[in-house]
Amino acid sequence: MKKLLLTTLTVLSMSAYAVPSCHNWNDGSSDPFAAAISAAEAGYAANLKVNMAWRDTGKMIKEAKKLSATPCSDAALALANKAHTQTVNATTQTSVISSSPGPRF
Amino acid sequence: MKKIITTVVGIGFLVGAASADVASDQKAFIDHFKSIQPNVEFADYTNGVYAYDAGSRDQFEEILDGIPPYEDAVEKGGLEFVKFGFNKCDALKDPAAARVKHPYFDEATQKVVTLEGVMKACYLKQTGKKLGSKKGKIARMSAWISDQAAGEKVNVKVDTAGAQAAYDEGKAFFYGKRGQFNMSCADCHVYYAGKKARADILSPALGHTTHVPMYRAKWGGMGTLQRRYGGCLKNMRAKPISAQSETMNNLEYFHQAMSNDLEITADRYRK
Ligand code: HEC
Repeated sequence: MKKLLLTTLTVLSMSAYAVPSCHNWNDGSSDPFAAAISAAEAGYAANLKVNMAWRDTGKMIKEAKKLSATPCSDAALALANKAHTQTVNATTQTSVISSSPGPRF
Repeated sequence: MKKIITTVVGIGFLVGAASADVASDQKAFIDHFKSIQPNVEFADYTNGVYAYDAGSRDQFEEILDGIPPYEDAVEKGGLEFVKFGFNKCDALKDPAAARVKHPYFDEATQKVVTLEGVMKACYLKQTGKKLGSKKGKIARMSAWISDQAAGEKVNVKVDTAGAQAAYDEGKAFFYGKRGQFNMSCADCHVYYAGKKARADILSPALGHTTHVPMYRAKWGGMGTLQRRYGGCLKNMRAKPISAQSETMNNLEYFHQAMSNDLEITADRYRK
């Protein structure tokens, strides 16, 4: 019995570590998927407001949310992070454009 | 105090860097195209990409010599113009004048007014319904309106502070990099004009607005200038912006101004 319990605990804890996107609600950390997706959504909303959004960011956010229906989905976290990175790059473009670029000649 | 002065001077410099009058902007624009294609005459830019590529020009001329695929659509547009009461709207009752007048900057609303914009307003007034912005009826009727002005010249005026601000915004849009490929309109249609992008030869932006709305073989139909904006934005992997929005209208204002003094043409075929 003791051995069985130990094995179960080990497997459980191992799986928790092997899948980093699987949030452990008991260790005081925040949920990485929730953080990534909310950063992506906030960035995308800001990009849309100034007409600087990228073509696929919205689709990526939607897809990431769909994937997140599966608990601890690595793919969902990866996609949410990718969408967030797109919004960061679009924000950088926005600040370049606000200096009113002109021709190179 | 000193700091305030520095700031004011700094801002003045920024605005000054972007803001130049249309004539000097266009001169630099034309000079650039002269430097990449010294043998192409200014007037020939009214033929768009066909001014640059002899091979596709032969094909273009053959199409024009036959029955151009847009002929029926433009004729239908003329009938629709009357059917929907466009001749009863002040802004459109002289169609040739309407094509030459637009886009212009309206002081009362402090906004750019496009030809398609007034067409949408007129359609709503006459029929109580909304007219689309990109294809179908609006493209057919707008093409017919432009046909009435064939041979006249693009003549966009920018002569007030508000107009200049709208023009500058359109200019910044045109030269600013956006989308996943981090490209600007100018990257393809100014710096790389005449070069190949996959199966296409990139058209020079000079003359981009002389033949709009255009028939495009790839579309299998007609489309407005702003329909094309949406297509190019998608290709740049940027999210397209609504046609006839203020941002797209400011882009059109700048874009059309760069074709000032080129002839408006009824030869609206493009591959
Ligand atoms: C990656 C290159 C690329 C970029 C960037 C690009 N376009 Fe294009 N554009 C094309 C290609 C390819 C075509 C079809 C062939 C041609 O006419 O150049 C085209 C066609 C057009 C046409 C139709 C030309 C005609 O003669 O009918 C217009 C107008 C146009 N683009 C405007 C724009 C604007 C405005 C932007 C910026 C929002 C832009 N393009 C950005 C590649 C590009």
